[in-house]
Amino acid sequence: MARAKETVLIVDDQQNWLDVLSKGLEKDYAVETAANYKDAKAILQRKAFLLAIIDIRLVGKDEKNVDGIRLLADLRQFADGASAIIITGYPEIETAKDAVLRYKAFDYVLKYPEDGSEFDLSAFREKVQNAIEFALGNRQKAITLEFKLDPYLSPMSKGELAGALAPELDSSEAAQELDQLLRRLLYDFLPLAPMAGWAKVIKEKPPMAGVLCWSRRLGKALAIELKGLKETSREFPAFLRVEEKHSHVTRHFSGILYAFPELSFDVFSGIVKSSK
Amino acid sequence: MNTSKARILIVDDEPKWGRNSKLALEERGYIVEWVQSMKEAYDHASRERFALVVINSALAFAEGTSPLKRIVRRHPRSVIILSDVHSVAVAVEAFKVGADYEDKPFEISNLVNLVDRLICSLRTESVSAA
Repeated sequence: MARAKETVLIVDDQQNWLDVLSKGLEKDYAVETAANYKDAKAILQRKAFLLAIIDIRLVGKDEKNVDGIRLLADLRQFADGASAIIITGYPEIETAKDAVLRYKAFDYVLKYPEDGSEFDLSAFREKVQNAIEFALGNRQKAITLEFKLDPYLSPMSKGELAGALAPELDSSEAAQELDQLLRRLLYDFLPLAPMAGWAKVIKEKPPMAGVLCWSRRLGKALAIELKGLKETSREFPAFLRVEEKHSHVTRHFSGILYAFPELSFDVFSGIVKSSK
Repeated sequence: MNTSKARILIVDDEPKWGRNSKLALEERGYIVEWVQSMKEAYDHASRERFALVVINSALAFAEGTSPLKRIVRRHPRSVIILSDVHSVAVAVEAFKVGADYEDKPFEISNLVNLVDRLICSLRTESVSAA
Protein backbone atom coordinates (compact mmCIF):
# COMPACT_ATOMS: atom_id res chain seq x y z
CA MET A 1 0.00 0.00 0.00
CA ALA A 2 1.49 3.30 -1.03
CA ARG A 3 2.03 5.57 1.88
CA ALA A 4 0.05 8.76 1.80
CA LYS A 5 2.02 11.96 1.49
CA GLU A 6 2.74 13.92 4.63
CA THR A 7 1.40 17.43 4.58
CA VAL A 8 3.75 20.39 4.76
CA LEU A 9 2.69 23.97 5.36
CA ILE A 10 4.68 26.73 3.67
CA VAL A 11 4.25 30.31 4.84
CA ASP A 12 5.81 33.18 2.93
CA ASP A 13 4.51 36.58 1.86
CA GLN A 14 6.49 36.38 -1.38
CA GLN A 15 4.67 34.46 -4.06
CA ASN A 16 7.86 33.56 -5.91
CA TRP A 17 9.23 31.80 -2.85
CA LEU A 18 5.95 29.99 -2.27
CA ASP A 19 6.14 28.83 -5.88
CA VAL A 20 9.75 27.70 -5.73
CA LEU A 21 9.34 25.79 -2.49
CA SER A 22 5.96 24.29 -3.40
CA LYS A 23 7.28 23.09 -6.73
CA GLY A 24 10.32 21.64 -5.07
CA LEU A 25 8.33 19.73 -2.49
CA GLU A 26 5.04 18.78 -4.09
CA LYS A 27 6.38 15.60 -5.62
CA ASP A 28 6.98 14.11 -2.20
CA TYR A 29 4.59 16.02 0.01
CA ALA A 30 1.11 17.42 0.07
CA VAL A 31 1.82 21.14 0.21
CA GLU A 32 -0.37 23.86 1.65
CA THR A 33 0.57 27.50 1.52
CA ALA A 34 -0.29 30.72 3.31
CA ALA A 35 0.96 34.23 2.61
CA ASN A 36 0.44 35.94 5.94
CA TYR A 37 0.34 35.36 9.67
CA LYS A 38 -3.42 35.39 10.00
CA ASP A 39 -4.12 32.85 7.28
CA ALA A 40 -1.29 30.62 8.42
CA LYS A 41 -2.51 30.65 12.00
CA ALA A 42 -6.03 29.78 10.88
CA ILE A 43 -4.67 26.82 8.93
CA LEU A 44 -2.56 25.67 11.87
CA GLN A 45 -5.59 25.81 14.13
CA ARG A 46 -7.61 23.76 11.74
CA LYS A 47 -5.15 21.19 10.53
CA ALA A 48 -2.23 19.21 11.75
CA PHE A 49 1.14 19.31 10.07
CA LEU A 50 4.31 17.41 10.60
CA LEU A 51 6.29 20.33 9.26
CA ALA A 52 5.78 24.04 8.81
CA ILE A 53 8.22 26.03 6.69
CA ILE A 54 7.96 29.62 7.84
CA ASP A 55 9.40 32.85 6.49
CA ILE A 56 10.18 35.35 9.27
CA ARG A 57 9.15 38.63 7.72
CA LEU A 58 5.59 38.17 6.60
CA VAL A 59 4.95 41.80 5.82
CA GLY A 60 7.60 42.60 3.25
CA LYS A 61 7.66 46.34 3.75
CA ASP A 62 7.89 46.20 7.52
CA GLU A 63 11.53 45.81 8.53
CA LYS A 64 10.62 45.03 12.12
CA ASN A 65 8.13 42.36 11.23
CA VAL A 66 8.85 38.98 12.81
CA ASP A 67 5.43 37.37 12.30
CA GLY A 68 7.14 34.11 11.34
CA ILE A 69 8.60 33.85 14.84
CA ARG A 70 5.16 34.56 16.32
CA LEU A 71 3.75 31.81 14.18
CA LEU A 72 6.48 29.46 15.33
CA ALA A 73 5.58 30.26 18.94
CA ASP A 74 1.93 29.48 18.09
CA LEU A 75 2.95 26.22 16.50
CA ARG A 76 4.62 25.24 19.73
CA GLN A 77 1.29 25.83 21.46
CA PHE A 78 -0.81 23.88 19.00
CA ALA A 79 1.52 21.07 18.10
CA ASP A 80 4.65 20.89 20.14
CA GLY A 81 5.97 17.87 18.33
CA ALA A 82 5.73 19.34 14.84
CA SER A 83 8.90 20.38 13.06
CA ALA A 84 9.51 23.89 11.80
CA ILE A 85 12.05 25.18 9.36
CA ILE A 86 12.50 28.92 9.41
CA ILE A 87 13.51 30.58 6.16
CA THR A 88 14.54 34.18 5.79
CA GLY A 89 16.04 36.73 3.49
CA TYR A 90 16.95 38.85 6.50
CA PRO A 91 19.09 36.65 8.72
CA GLU A 92 19.84 37.94 12.19
CA ILE A 93 21.53 36.34 15.17
CA GLU A 94 18.63 37.30 17.42
CA THR A 95 15.86 35.75 15.34
CA ALA A 96 18.02 32.66 14.81
CA LYS A 97 18.47 32.35 18.55
CA ASP A 98 14.75 32.77 19.20
CA ALA A 99 13.83 30.32 16.48
CA VAL A 100 16.33 27.58 17.22
CA LEU A 101 17.09 27.85 20.94
CA ARG A 102 13.81 29.17 22.25
CA TYR A 103 11.19 27.73 19.94
CA LYS A 104 13.06 24.64 18.85
CA ALA A 105 13.00 25.25 15.12
CA PHE A 106 14.58 22.31 13.37
CA ASP A 107 16.57 24.65 11.15
CA TYR A 108 16.98 28.26 10.13
CA VAL A 109 17.71 28.55 6.47
CA LEU A 110 19.03 31.58 4.61
CA LYS A 111 17.32 32.34 1.33
CA TYR A 112 20.52 34.00 0.18
CA PRO A 113 23.48 32.03 1.54
CA GLU A 114 26.29 34.06 3.10
CA ASP A 115 28.85 32.77 0.62
CA GLY A 116 26.90 34.33 -2.22
CA SER A 117 25.79 31.02 -3.68
CA GLU A 118 22.29 30.30 -4.92
CA PHE A 119 19.59 28.83 -2.73
CA ASP A 120 20.15 25.08 -2.87
CA LEU A 121 16.78 23.46 -3.35
CA SER A 122 18.00 19.89 -3.19
CA ALA A 123 19.84 20.54 0.08
CA PHE A 124 16.65 22.15 1.33
CA ARG A 125 14.63 19.09 0.37
CA GLU A 126 17.01 16.99 2.42
CA LYS A 127 16.45 19.25 5.42
CA VAL A 128 12.71 18.88 4.91
CA GLN A 129 13.03 15.12 4.89
CA ASN A 130 15.10 15.18 8.07
CA ALA A 131 12.67 17.54 9.74
CA ILE A 132 9.76 15.24 8.89
CA GLU A 133 11.60 12.26 10.29
CA PHE A 134 12.35 14.24 13.43
CA ALA A 135 8.65 15.05 13.83
CA LEU A 136 7.71 11.42 13.31
CA GLY A 137 10.10 10.55 16.12
CA ASN A 138 8.36 13.11 18.31
CA ARG A 139 5.06 11.45 17.54
CA GLN A 140 6.32 8.19 18.86
CA LYS A 141 7.30 9.88 22.09
CA ALA A 142 3.99 11.66 22.32
CA ILE A 143 2.11 8.40 22.06
CA THR A 144 3.00 7.69 25.65
CA LEU A 145 0.90 10.70 26.58
CA GLU A 146 -2.13 9.29 24.84
CA PHE A 147 -4.54 8.88 27.69
CA LYS A 148 -3.72 11.94 29.65
CA LEU A 149 -6.33 13.71 27.62
CA ASP A 150 -8.94 15.19 29.89
CA PRO A 151 -12.34 14.00 28.73
CA TYR A 152 -14.10 16.81 30.54
CA LEU A 153 -13.43 19.59 28.12
CA SER A 154 -15.18 22.86 28.27
CA PRO A 155 -17.28 23.56 25.20
CA MET A 156 -15.88 25.89 22.61
CA SER A 157 -17.77 28.35 20.55
CA LYS A 158 -19.67 26.88 17.67
CA GLY A 159 -18.42 26.84 14.14
CA GLU A 160 -14.78 26.42 14.99
CA LEU A 161 -14.70 22.82 14.13
CA ALA A 162 -12.01 21.65 11.80
CA GLY A 163 -13.15 22.63 8.34
CA ALA A 164 -13.37 19.18 6.85
CA LEU A 165 -15.58 17.99 9.64
CA ALA A 166 -17.93 20.90 9.91
CA PRO A 167 -20.57 19.85 7.37
CA GLU A 168 -21.04 16.57 9.16
CA LEU A 169 -22.17 18.05 12.37
CA ASP A 170 -25.03 20.09 13.57
CA SER A 171 -24.77 22.79 16.17
CA SER A 172 -25.71 20.70 19.15
CA GLU A 173 -23.91 20.92 22.42
CA ALA A 174 -22.26 17.67 21.48
CA ALA A 175 -20.83 19.24 18.37
CA GLN A 176 -19.22 21.90 20.46
CA GLU A 177 -17.79 19.34 22.76
CA LEU A 178 -16.53 17.42 19.80
CA ASP A 179 -15.10 20.55 18.33
CA GLN A 180 -12.93 20.97 21.38
CA LEU A 181 -12.01 17.34 21.43
CA LEU A 182 -10.99 17.31 17.82
CA ARG A 183 -8.83 20.31 18.36
CA ARG A 184 -7.09 18.45 21.12
CA LEU A 185 -6.85 15.45 18.87
CA LEU A 186 -5.45 17.38 15.99
CA TYR A 187 -2.93 19.31 18.01
CA ASP A 188 -2.03 17.96 21.41
CA PHE A 189 -3.15 14.55 20.49
CA LEU A 190 -1.76 14.61 16.99
CA PRO A 191 0.29 11.41 17.27
CA LEU A 192 -2.81 9.30 17.28
CA ALA A 193 -4.13 10.71 14.08
CA PRO A 194 -1.53 9.61 11.56
CA MET A 195 -3.11 11.53 8.74
CA ALA A 196 -5.03 14.12 10.62
CA GLY A 197 -5.24 16.27 7.57
CA TRP A 198 -7.79 13.92 6.19
CA ALA A 199 -10.38 12.57 8.50
CA LYS A 200 -13.83 11.34 7.80
CA VAL A 201 -16.70 11.66 10.14
CA ILE A 202 -19.49 9.19 10.17
CA LYS A 203 -22.28 10.65 12.11
CA GLU A 204 -24.32 8.21 14.03
CA LYS A 205 -26.56 8.24 17.05
CA PRO A 206 -25.96 8.46 19.85
CA PRO A 207 -23.54 11.07 18.84
CA MET A 208 -20.11 11.37 20.15
CA ALA A 209 -20.05 8.75 22.84
CA GLY A 210 -16.42 8.49 22.02
CA VAL A 211 -13.85 9.19 19.43
CA LEU A 212 -12.19 6.32 17.77
CA CYS A 213 -9.07 6.54 15.76
CA TRP A 214 -6.80 4.07 14.19
CA SER A 215 -3.19 4.57 15.03
CA ARG A 216 -1.03 3.27 12.25
CA ARG A 217 2.02 3.54 14.43
CA LEU A 218 0.62 1.73 17.41
CA GLY A 219 -1.07 -0.72 15.10
CA LYS A 220 -4.31 -0.58 17.01
CA ALA A 221 -7.46 1.36 17.45
CA LEU A 222 -7.53 3.92 20.18
CA ALA A 223 -10.59 5.32 21.75
CA ILE A 224 -11.36 8.35 23.78
CA GLU A 225 -14.49 8.43 25.77
CA LEU A 226 -16.58 11.52 25.78
CA LYS A 227 -18.49 12.11 28.91
CA GLY A 228 -21.41 14.28 29.85
CA LEU A 229 -23.01 14.19 26.44
CA LYS A 230 -26.68 13.77 25.85
CA GLU A 231 -27.37 10.55 24.07
CA THR A 232 -30.25 9.79 21.84
CA SER A 233 -31.80 6.38 21.55
CA ARG A 234 -30.77 5.24 18.11
CA GLU A 235 -28.65 2.19 17.72
CA PHE A 236 -25.11 2.62 16.69
CA PRO A 237 -23.54 0.23 14.22
CA ALA A 238 -21.80 -2.79 15.58
CA PHE A 239 -18.60 -2.15 13.72
CA LEU A 240 -18.04 0.87 15.86
CA ARG A 241 -17.56 -1.26 18.89
CA VAL A 242 -13.98 -1.95 19.67
CA GLU A 243 -12.61 -5.26 20.60
CA GLU A 244 -11.47 -5.05 24.12
CA LYS A 245 -7.94 -6.12 23.49
CA HIS A 246 -7.47 -3.33 21.00
CA SER A 247 -8.87 -0.66 23.15
CA HIS A 248 -8.05 1.06 26.36
CA VAL A 249 -11.66 1.94 26.89
CA THR A 250 -14.13 -0.85 26.40
CA ARG A 251 -17.31 1.15 26.28
CA HIS A 252 -19.08 1.50 22.98
CA PHE A 253 -17.99 4.11 20.55
CA SER A 254 -19.93 5.82 17.95
CA GLY A 255 -20.47 9.15 16.36
CA ILE A 256 -17.13 9.63 14.85
CA LEU A 257 -14.78 7.41 13.06
CA TYR A 258 -11.42 8.43 11.88
CA ALA A 259 -10.57 6.77 8.62
CA PHE A 260 -7.28 7.22 6.88
CA PRO A 261 -6.63 7.17 3.18
CA GLU A 262 -3.90 4.55 3.28
CA LEU A 263 -6.08 2.19 5.25
CA SER A 264 -9.17 0.85 3.59
CA PHE A 265 -12.37 0.91 5.53
CA ASP A 266 -12.56 -2.87 5.48
CA VAL A 267 -9.17 -3.16 7.08
CA PHE A 268 -10.12 -0.61 9.65
CA SER A 269 -13.45 -2.12 10.52
CA GLY A 270 -11.83 -5.56 10.61
CA ILE A 271 -9.98 -4.38 13.64
CA VAL A 272 -12.98 -2.68 15.05
CA LYS A 273 -15.18 -5.73 15.17
CA SER A 274 -18.44 -6.23 16.91
CA SER A 275 -17.82 -7.15 20.48
CA LYS A 276 -21.31 -8.39 21.28
CA MET B 1 33.03 42.09 40.20
CA ASN B 2 34.18 38.83 41.66
CA THR B 3 35.55 36.83 38.80
CA SER B 4 38.17 34.99 40.75
CA LYS B 5 38.70 31.31 40.24
CA ALA B 6 36.17 30.84 37.46
CA ARG B 7 37.63 28.28 35.11
CA ILE B 8 37.69 29.06 31.42
CA LEU B 9 38.57 26.73 28.57
CA ILE B 10 39.78 28.42 25.39
CA VAL B 11 39.74 26.31 22.23
CA ASP B 12 41.62 28.07 19.45
CA ASP B 13 44.36 26.96 17.10
CA GLU B 14 45.68 30.45 16.50
CA PRO B 15 48.76 30.51 18.80
CA LYS B 16 49.05 34.24 19.23
CA TRP B 17 45.38 34.71 20.05
CA GLY B 18 45.31 31.69 22.34
CA ARG B 19 48.40 32.71 24.27
CA ASN B 20 47.38 36.33 24.62
CA SER B 21 43.83 35.60 25.65
CA LYS B 22 45.04 33.12 28.24
CA LEU B 23 47.41 35.73 29.68
CA ALA B 24 44.83 38.49 29.68
CA LEU B 25 42.12 36.36 31.27
CA GLU B 26 44.53 35.05 33.90
CA GLU B 27 45.49 38.61 34.72
CA ARG B 28 41.79 39.25 35.19
CA GLY B 29 41.64 36.48 37.78
CA TYR B 30 40.36 33.53 35.82
CA ILE B 31 41.90 30.11 35.71
CA VAL B 32 42.47 29.43 32.03
CA GLU B 33 43.17 26.32 30.02
CA TRP B 34 44.03 26.82 26.38
CA VAL B 35 43.90 23.96 23.89
CA GLN B 36 44.29 23.89 20.13
CA SER B 37 42.03 21.05 19.06
CA MET B 38 38.56 19.71 19.72
CA LYS B 39 40.03 16.42 20.89
CA GLU B 40 42.04 18.13 23.61
CA ALA B 41 39.03 20.28 24.38
CA TYR B 42 36.88 17.24 24.87
CA ASP B 43 39.51 15.56 27.05
CA HIS B 44 39.67 18.62 29.28
CA ALA B 45 35.94 19.16 29.32
CA SER B 46 35.26 15.60 30.37
CA ARG B 47 37.86 15.72 33.17
CA GLU B 48 37.16 19.14 34.58
CA ARG B 49 34.24 21.45 34.98
CA PHE B 50 34.52 24.89 33.37
CA ALA B 51 32.43 27.96 33.95
CA LEU B 52 32.81 28.81 30.31
CA VAL B 53 34.09 27.02 27.22
CA VAL B 54 35.04 29.36 24.38
CA ILE B 55 35.50 27.64 21.04
CA ASN B 56 36.68 29.05 17.73
CA SER B 57 34.06 28.24 15.10
CA ALA B 58 36.68 26.99 12.66
CA LEU B 59 37.47 24.18 15.10
CA ALA B 60 34.02 23.72 16.56
CA PHE B 61 32.49 22.12 13.50
CA ALA B 62 35.66 20.86 11.82
CA GLU B 63 34.98 17.20 12.57
CA GLY B 64 31.22 17.19 12.53
CA THR B 65 29.10 18.24 15.44
CA SER B 66 29.50 15.29 17.77
CA PRO B 67 32.61 16.46 19.71
CA LEU B 68 30.90 19.80 20.22
CA LYS B 69 27.65 18.14 21.27
CA ARG B 70 29.48 16.09 23.86
CA ILE B 71 31.12 19.17 25.32
CA VAL B 72 27.78 20.98 25.42
CA ARG B 73 26.17 18.03 27.13
CA ARG B 74 28.74 18.25 29.91
CA HIS B 75 28.62 22.03 30.06
CA PRO B 76 25.07 23.03 29.24
CA ARG B 77 24.57 26.76 28.65
CA SER B 78 28.30 27.36 29.13
CA VAL B 79 29.65 26.80 25.64
CA ILE B 80 30.13 29.71 23.30
CA ILE B 81 31.25 29.65 19.69
CA LEU B 82 33.30 32.58 18.46
CA SER B 83 33.36 33.22 14.75
CA ASP B 84 36.03 35.25 12.95
CA VAL B 85 33.45 36.45 10.46
CA HIS B 86 29.94 37.46 11.43
CA SER B 87 27.83 34.53 10.27
CA VAL B 88 24.20 33.76 11.04
CA ALA B 89 24.70 30.35 9.47
CA VAL B 90 27.44 29.53 12.00
CA ALA B 91 25.26 30.90 14.80
CA VAL B 92 22.42 28.62 13.72
CA GLU B 93 24.73 25.60 13.86
CA ALA B 94 25.79 26.64 17.35
CA PHE B 95 22.21 27.13 18.54
CA LYS B 96 21.19 23.78 17.11
CA VAL B 97 23.54 21.98 19.46
CA GLY B 98 22.65 24.24 22.38
CA ALA B 99 25.75 26.44 22.30
CA ASP B 100 25.76 30.22 22.22
CA TYR B 101 27.35 32.40 19.55
CA GLU B 102 29.29 35.67 19.40
CA ASP B 103 31.39 37.36 16.78
CA LYS B 104 35.03 36.93 17.72
CA PRO B 105 36.33 40.22 19.13
CA PHE B 106 39.25 41.89 17.32
CA GLU B 107 40.91 42.94 20.54
CA ILE B 108 41.87 40.75 23.46
CA SER B 109 40.46 43.42 25.80
CA ASN B 110 37.07 42.94 24.19
CA LEU B 111 37.35 39.21 24.71
CA VAL B 112 37.96 39.85 28.41
CA ASN B 113 34.88 42.06 28.52
CA LEU B 114 32.86 39.42 26.74
CA VAL B 115 33.99 36.69 29.13
CA ASP B 116 33.21 38.96 32.11
CA ARG B 117 29.75 39.57 30.75
CA LEU B 118 29.04 35.90 30.03
CA ILE B 119 30.35 34.72 33.40
CA CYS B 120 28.28 37.40 35.08
CA SER B 121 25.09 36.39 33.29
CA LEU B 122 25.72 32.68 33.90
CA ARG B 123 26.16 33.42 37.60
CA THR B 124 22.98 35.48 37.68
CA GLU B 125 21.22 32.63 35.96
CA SER B 126 22.42 30.05 38.45
CA VAL B 127 21.56 32.32 41.41
CA SER B 128 18.05 32.91 40.15
CA ALA B 129 17.64 29.22 39.38
CA ALA B 130 18.69 28.25 42.91
